[in-house]
Parts: sequence; structure tokens; C-alpha cells
Amino acid sequence: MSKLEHFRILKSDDSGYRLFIILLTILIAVGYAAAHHMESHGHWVSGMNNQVVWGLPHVFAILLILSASGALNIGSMSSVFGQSHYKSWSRFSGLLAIVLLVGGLIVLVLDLGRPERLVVAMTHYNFKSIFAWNIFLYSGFVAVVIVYLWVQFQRSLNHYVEPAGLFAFIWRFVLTSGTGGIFGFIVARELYDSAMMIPVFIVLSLVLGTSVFLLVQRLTYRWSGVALETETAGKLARLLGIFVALELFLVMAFHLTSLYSAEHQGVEWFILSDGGLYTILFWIGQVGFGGLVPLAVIYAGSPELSMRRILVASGCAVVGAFAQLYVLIVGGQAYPQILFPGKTVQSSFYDGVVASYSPSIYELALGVGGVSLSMLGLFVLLRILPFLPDNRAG
Amino acid sequence: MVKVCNQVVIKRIVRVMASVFGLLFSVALLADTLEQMRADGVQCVEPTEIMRKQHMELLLHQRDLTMREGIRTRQHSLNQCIECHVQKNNQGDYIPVNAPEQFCASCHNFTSVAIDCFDCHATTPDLPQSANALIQQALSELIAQELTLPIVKRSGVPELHNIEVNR
Amino acid sequence: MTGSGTVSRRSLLKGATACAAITAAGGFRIVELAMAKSPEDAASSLVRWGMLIDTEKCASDCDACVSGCNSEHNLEGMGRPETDAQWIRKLDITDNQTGHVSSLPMLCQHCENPPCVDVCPTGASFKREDGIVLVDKHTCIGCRYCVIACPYKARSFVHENLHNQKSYSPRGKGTVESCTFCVHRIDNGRTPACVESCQSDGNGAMVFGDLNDKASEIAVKIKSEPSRQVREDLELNTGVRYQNV
Repeated sequence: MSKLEHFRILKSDDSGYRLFIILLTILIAVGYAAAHHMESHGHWVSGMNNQVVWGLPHVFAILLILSASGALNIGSMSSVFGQSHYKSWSRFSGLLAIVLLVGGLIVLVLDLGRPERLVVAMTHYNFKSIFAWNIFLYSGFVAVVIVYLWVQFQRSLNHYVEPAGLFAFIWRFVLTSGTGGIFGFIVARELYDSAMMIPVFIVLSLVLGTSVFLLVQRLTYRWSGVALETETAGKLARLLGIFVALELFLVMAFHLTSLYSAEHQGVEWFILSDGGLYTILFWIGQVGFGGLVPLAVIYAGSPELSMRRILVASGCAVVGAFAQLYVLIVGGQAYPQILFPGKTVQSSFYDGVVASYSPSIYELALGVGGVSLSMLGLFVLLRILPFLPDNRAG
Repeated sequence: MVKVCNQVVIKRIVRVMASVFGLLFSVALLADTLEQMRADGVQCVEPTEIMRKQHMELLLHQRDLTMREGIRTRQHSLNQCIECHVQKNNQGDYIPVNAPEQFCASCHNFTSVAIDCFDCHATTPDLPQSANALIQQALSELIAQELTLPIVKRSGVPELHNIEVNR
Repeated sequence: MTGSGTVSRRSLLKGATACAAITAAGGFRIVELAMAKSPEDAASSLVRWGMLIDTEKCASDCDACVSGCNSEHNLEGMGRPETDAQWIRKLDITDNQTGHVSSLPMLCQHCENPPCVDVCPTGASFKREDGIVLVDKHTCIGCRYCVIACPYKARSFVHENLHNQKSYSPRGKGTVESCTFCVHRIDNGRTPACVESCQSDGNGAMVFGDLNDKASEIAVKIKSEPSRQVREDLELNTGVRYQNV
């Protein structure tokens, strides 16, 4: 707290850096073209259908939104929990949170049936809808984090960092609850409709935010030369381990309670054993890559964590979270809705059968475009304002 | 008795014919009046100045009333606009109102104001089909009824009066 | 009768009155029009529209209601069953224990507490005063949250550009839609197309009417005979009820 922090902008004319920026720009253009194609032809060109109405773009969007909320956690560690060794990275953490959220929201908006009516969503509200609340929570989040960054940048306002940080911390908590609530409040689907969705999403956001932060700070290091100190990175990675373990525990609690009642056994056996791709994604993706691998990498072997081990653990955690969201979002819709318990239902509208969904190249391009937009935003803003800690001056 | 029967049958035939005539006449009159009004350039539902400037507000207001509350007055309804302002081609088929040079498109293209009404709304009236269907249905109902009704009820005395009331 | 008698122009009114007089004199029934609420009246909360479906009368091989609905609203398929809209569909239901088979049409249940209305962010999904659940496609942004939230799988998303819509049933790409209870017919005192088709081409398994009107056929029937709601555990108080299922 007492030490004066120094910050710097990103300066790089490295050809690799330029290539990276060009690549991001191309991916964004391709993503936009894909969204435009889906919008002008209608969504039948995507993998989506009347059974699975939220597909790959929603997985990407929610992944980015959860990462955004979690990435702010590194800033909160210093301003809320007084962990001063994270202080020099709290600007970067705030910036990362904003760009990830914007990237996620753009994907969400471009996947709407009528994206040009965004203004309708901004002017007509149904306050009983958790979606309407989320529109406020998301746009409010950007505003709150901007204030949080501002009081950090403005030396004369530095004494407001703690209250601003606390407010942002509370806001992101509510925001992630809102994201979990999107699924938690749905009575119509067998896999959703559980208050457990809220803690599961909050901890998942901590997992994602921490691992994405660790990966992205390493990416910027290539061109900035500023890296998280190995010791701090190690602490953060061990914290990631705790989050991963907690998430595994919550997911286990969710499935075990659900498995206990005969009513939910159908959907549970679908996810856990008979669901084909969804079962594979659950065990290998979510539990394996998202849970056991990061835990093994972090806790097995020498307690001195190398950057390589930290990055492997973070990368696996992100892959696992992706699998988890895919199983939840797509798998939850693929499992048939039960209109008549205890009866077998047949129709021309895919009642009683597992719905098919194969993501199209357009949806993938849109999702990747959103991630690229986040990264481009990050690297452009890093060049404009001093977000990065200046190790040399410190 | 035969005589009476014939009388009733003749009356009934007359009535059926009157109905047919009435229906045809009403449709012809309706079509004719619409044509005539269009040809005469009869004033729209509001003065031209108001329509030019405020047709959007009028339509939006009517839209919400109809959509949300089920109020289906036609004065400011989009369907009414289309019914009056739609044109026919040489074959007598309707041309969509949003086709180039047609009523909606001519101004909106000129002023470059994009409208999305016709992403969802029909661009021609369904009047011809539904009127035809209506006439056919009414005719078949009428004829079926007239044919199935007992012509003579009791010992030669037709209850003409009762039948009339039942209508 | 759209177009006649309702166009507010003096000359036309004259013509319409004349022809109405002639048709009435000729014995043409205009009962349907007489029963309708007048166009300037708003839908009233004193009315709750509902439907009663007797599955014992509903035959598995009959889809009169479905074709009636499809032609009324021009729900022509694109030959892509996964994305084609279905407002009403036939379900064949087999009891897992007893093997008993029944058949019934499933459509928007017009709930009193509709989950689709709760979740809609813009309020585009709404319930009319008389209990009809509709989508205001002017404010629908196509987020599809209502499709996720509907317990009856009653909603469809329009996956492509449409043409040849009916003037009374606007539909368009990028918005969500479902059964409207044929609100355009109800407002003119007529019954929904599915019910009409079921009576004329099917087995007369569907009754439509005002649940609040104690004397209506439907109200009398649900009071004197057992009926149930689908997923009554959700306490949504559906407007559509089923018998013998």
C-alpha cells in the first residue's frame, strides 16, 4: 500500500506483435461476416434448431462473461482483501474484465434473432426477467469497473480505490449470480431449475477469471516484457487450485442430490453415462481437464510452481470450463422435456427424443471473433493508457 | 297440397336467389367502391398533411392497441392502408405494396427510410380469397339448409311463418 | 366479412348497409358477427379463453387440427423439420407401465402464470386481459429465452425469411412465435381454426370457450367431468385442459 506503483504502456513494434494484431483483426472480420450470414439467411444455416435454441455462441459468450467477472478478482484481492502483491496488476485486471465482458456481450447480441433491435432491449424492460436484470448488471459492470480504474489512475482519487473496489467486487458477485440465474430459474428443463446454478457459476467465474488472467498476462509478456512475478503467479495458481477443487465439489454435490430423486435420474444418467458426446465432455472435459488435471499439475510435485506448470493448469481449466458450459447449455436442451412423467411421448416435433445439435462453422467463427475482439481491445488499450505495472521502476 | 308445396318451393328459390344476389352485389359494391375511391383520389383516413407526417405514429398507436388490447378498429390499421393503396397489375393480381414504385416503397426508397413492417406483415390484402371463400361457404350453407328443411310440416299447411322466424 | 361493414367511409358504409339489408332479407345468417365483441372494445379480463380436449375422441391417425392451424396461419414447412415452426402438434403417449396409448394435440397452453412471459427481457411475450398469451413481434429481439422456459415446447423460432403471410397473422424471421388461440378469429366471435377443423374434419374432440362464463359449454363440462392440466405440478393454471389422459 505504501509503495508507490509505477505503470507503463505497451510499446512494441515486434513483427510478431503486428502479425498477432492482424490475425485478431481477420478473426473479428470473419466472425462478423459469419454473424451477418446467419442474420441475413436466418438461423437455419447455423447448427441451432427449435430444440436447441442456444448453441456454441452462447457457450462462448457465457465463457467470456464469467471470465470477465472472475478476472476482476485479481484487482479485488488487493483493494478488498489487502493482498498488496496483486496491487500492481489491478489496473490490468480491471481492463481485462471490461474487454472480456464486451467481447461476450457482442457475441450474445450478434446471435439474437433481431440484433438490430438492441435498442428495443435497452428501452423495453420486463423486470421479472432475469435477462432484463442482466442487461443492467452487464452495462453497469462496465461503468463500475471504469470508475474503479479511474480512481486508480487519478492519483488524487487513490483513496477511493478501496470503496470503489469493494463496490465492483459486490457488483460482479451479483452479476455472476444473475448469469447463473438464467439457468437456475428455468422450471421447464430437467437439468436447470436449481439454486445450485448460482454458486456453481460464481466459482466457475473465479476459476475462469484466474486462469484467463494467468494466460493473458503471459501473452502480453511476449511483447511488453512485464510478467507477473513467479512467486505471485504461484500464489495465484494455488488459489486457482482451490477454486477448481471447490467447483468440483459443487458439481459433485449438484449431481448427487439430483441423482437421489427418481424424478431427475433420467437427465442425470443422460449426462453421467448415456449421453454420448455430453457424457464424454463431462468426464473427460469438465471433470478431467477442468478438475483433476489442474489439481494434479498444481499440487503434485514440487511446491515451487514453474510458469510452465501454471500455464498448463490454467489452459486445462479453461478447456474444462468450456466443456462444462457446453454440457450445461447444449446438453441441458438436448435432453427431452418431460411433459408426461412415466410415459413415452412421440411426435413430429422431436418430443421424447434427444435433440441433435452440431455447431456450424458460422457459430464457431462468431465465438472466436468475440474472443479476438476482447484481445484486440486489450492490446489497443494497453498501448493507449498505462495499465501494465512497470517492474523496472518498482 | 301440391299447389302449396310449389308455392313454398318457389318462395324458397326466390329467397336463395335473393341471398346469392345480395352476396354478389355486396362484394361487387365493395370492390367497386374501393376502386372508385382510389380512382377519385378520395381523401385518406386523415388529411394528407397529417398522413404524410404522422402515419408512423398513427400506425404505431394502432399497432399497440390491436396487439396488446385486441382493439381492432380499422381506420389506422396497416391492413386498411394496404387494402386501399395496393395496386393491381394487368392480370388483375395485387402488386405487393413494398415492391419498387409501389405505395410504401416509392416514398421510403426516395427518403431512404428503411421499414421492416413487411418482414412479417402481408404486402397484399387477403380479401379476394377470403371473400370468395366466404361467398362459397355462405352459399353452400344456405343451399344445404334450404334443401334439408322439411317443406311441409303437417297435413298440407305449411308453417311459413315459423320457418321465417327460425331464420 | 373482413372489409365489408367495417370500413369507415360514408360511401362504403352505405353500400355495406344496403347489402347487409339484402343478405338479411335473403335469410343469410350473420349470427357470427352479432356475437363478436365490437372492434373498438378491448379484450376484457372478465373473459378467460380456454380449451378442453377429450383424448378419448382424439384419434392417433388424425391431424385435422394441425392442418387446420397450418393453413390458417400459412405455416408452410421448409422441408427442414428441425427448424420448421409447429404451433400445434400431435403427441402419441404410451404409459410405460401399462402400455396404454393415447393421442392428443399439444399447443400453447395459455397459462395464467406463463413462464415465457416471466423470462422475456423486453416484455414482448405478454398475456392479454382475456388470458391469451402472445408474442409482440415488434419488440421480440429473438433471444429465445422463452423457448427454453416453456414447459410445453410450444414455441418456435422463425429460422428463415418468410413470404405469403396472412394479413391477420404476421410472422417473420428472427422472432419467436406460438399458437395465438387464433386471436384474430376470437375477436370476431369465431372459434380457433384447430377447433373448427377438429369438428368438421376430425372427431370433435376439442371444445373452445370462455372459462369464466358459467353457462358456456366448456365451463359446464369442466365442472361436471374430470379434466386435468399438463404439468399441473408447476401451478401455471393452463387455459388448455385435457380429459382422459
